[in-house]
Amino acid sequence: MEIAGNYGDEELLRNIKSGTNLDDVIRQLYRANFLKTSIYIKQNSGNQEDAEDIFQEAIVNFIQLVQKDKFRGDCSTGTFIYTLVRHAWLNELKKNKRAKFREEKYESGKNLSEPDVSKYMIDMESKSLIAKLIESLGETCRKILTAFYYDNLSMQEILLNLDYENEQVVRNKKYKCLQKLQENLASNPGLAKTLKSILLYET
Amino acid sequence: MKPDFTNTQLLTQYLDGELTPESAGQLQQRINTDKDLEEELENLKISLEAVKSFGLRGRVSAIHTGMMKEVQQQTLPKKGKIRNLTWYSLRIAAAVLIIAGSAIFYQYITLSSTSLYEKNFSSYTLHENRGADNKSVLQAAYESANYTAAINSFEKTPIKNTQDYFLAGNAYLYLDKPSDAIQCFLAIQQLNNQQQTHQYTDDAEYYLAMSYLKNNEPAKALLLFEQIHTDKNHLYNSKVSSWFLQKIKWVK
Repeated sequence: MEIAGNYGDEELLRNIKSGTNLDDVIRQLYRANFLKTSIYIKQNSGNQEDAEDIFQEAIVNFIQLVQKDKFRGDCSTGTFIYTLVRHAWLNELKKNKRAKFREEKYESGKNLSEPDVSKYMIDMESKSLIAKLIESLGETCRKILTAFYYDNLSMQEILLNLDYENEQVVRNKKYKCLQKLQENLASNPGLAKTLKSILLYET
Repeated sequence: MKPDFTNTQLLTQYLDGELTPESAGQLQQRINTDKDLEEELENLKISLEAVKSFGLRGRVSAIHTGMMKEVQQQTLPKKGKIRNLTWYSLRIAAAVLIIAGSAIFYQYITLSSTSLYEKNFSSYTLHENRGADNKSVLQAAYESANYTAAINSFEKTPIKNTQDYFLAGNAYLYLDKPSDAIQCFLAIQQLNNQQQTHQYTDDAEYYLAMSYLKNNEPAKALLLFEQIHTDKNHLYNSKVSSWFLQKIKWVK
């Protein structure tokens, strides 16, 4: 196993799954992988901003894949992230039509031992799709939902940060927020299908 | 058919694990037979994943800025090394300058006309071809380093030649009588002028200058040493360096 930073790969994956020391894990992933991937992107028509955007998405994607048991350490985290970045960047180049022959170049330069991450393709548009969807709910909904579902705070803890009478009011607000989200998805099956693919890695 | 949004609360409780096993089982049976409810549950799952993903993006984004600063510092090692190397070189140069400066300062504060004499004086050795057959008492005494005897002999010599004055001058220097030595070397110059000879000219000039140094008359010594330094054919030219002249100027 490749050791990157303070954690070995096995410990790093365990921490991601359990959410233990996740900030440290993210920093370690940056230290171990950012420079290498940014060099690749800059050598292939990209700039610093591209390198940063793609890498951020790759890290988000990697963590989600680990948490959903889609990556179990079949190759090193470094190799996997690098491949995620390469695929994502190739995808961006294709979309932007900046490089007609990039795919050919990519295929010729690809390492045969690279994992197949095509099914986990990062689409940079997914970032804005999700952001738009959540932000359309308004600040209160965004705060309640992320606090409950991402930060795993209890209703009592959430109540301390919001100006509501009691927990039940917050709970009802949460239901309303989720209902609004459902409405948006129900009224836009295409969006629901895209997000399902992006977030649940199901087609 | 439109999904039944009134089920949202129940489905949310189901996904959050807040239903009793019995209620969860009943709901699962409904989902299995109700496509709209199943679709609603599916959209709800996607919604929760979107929220989690949004939260994770926020977390990564918050760390990203700090990490970019750290990574940028990592990508500047060459610049850092150059600066460090320059700084290191400057420090070495400064240290060398301080050491050299300290050495010069030490020499400066410990320098005196007499100390310059002590450090630069070398005794005169008579050559064999100079009166080897008819060696005078003075000469013999000088060669045997009996300088007192040499002076006694010199003083008893009624008619003194340039060699007598020269040996006596050196003997006086050994006996710490620089003023007497000066008179002897000046006498050689007078004799040579009177007789239009050039015996011991360079020797007398050099040892006269050395006698001035020993007698704490550096200004007079400097004039002579500068002449010797300028005259490349002078027998003692190699003994008078620019640095030696500088040191005499310091004590002048």
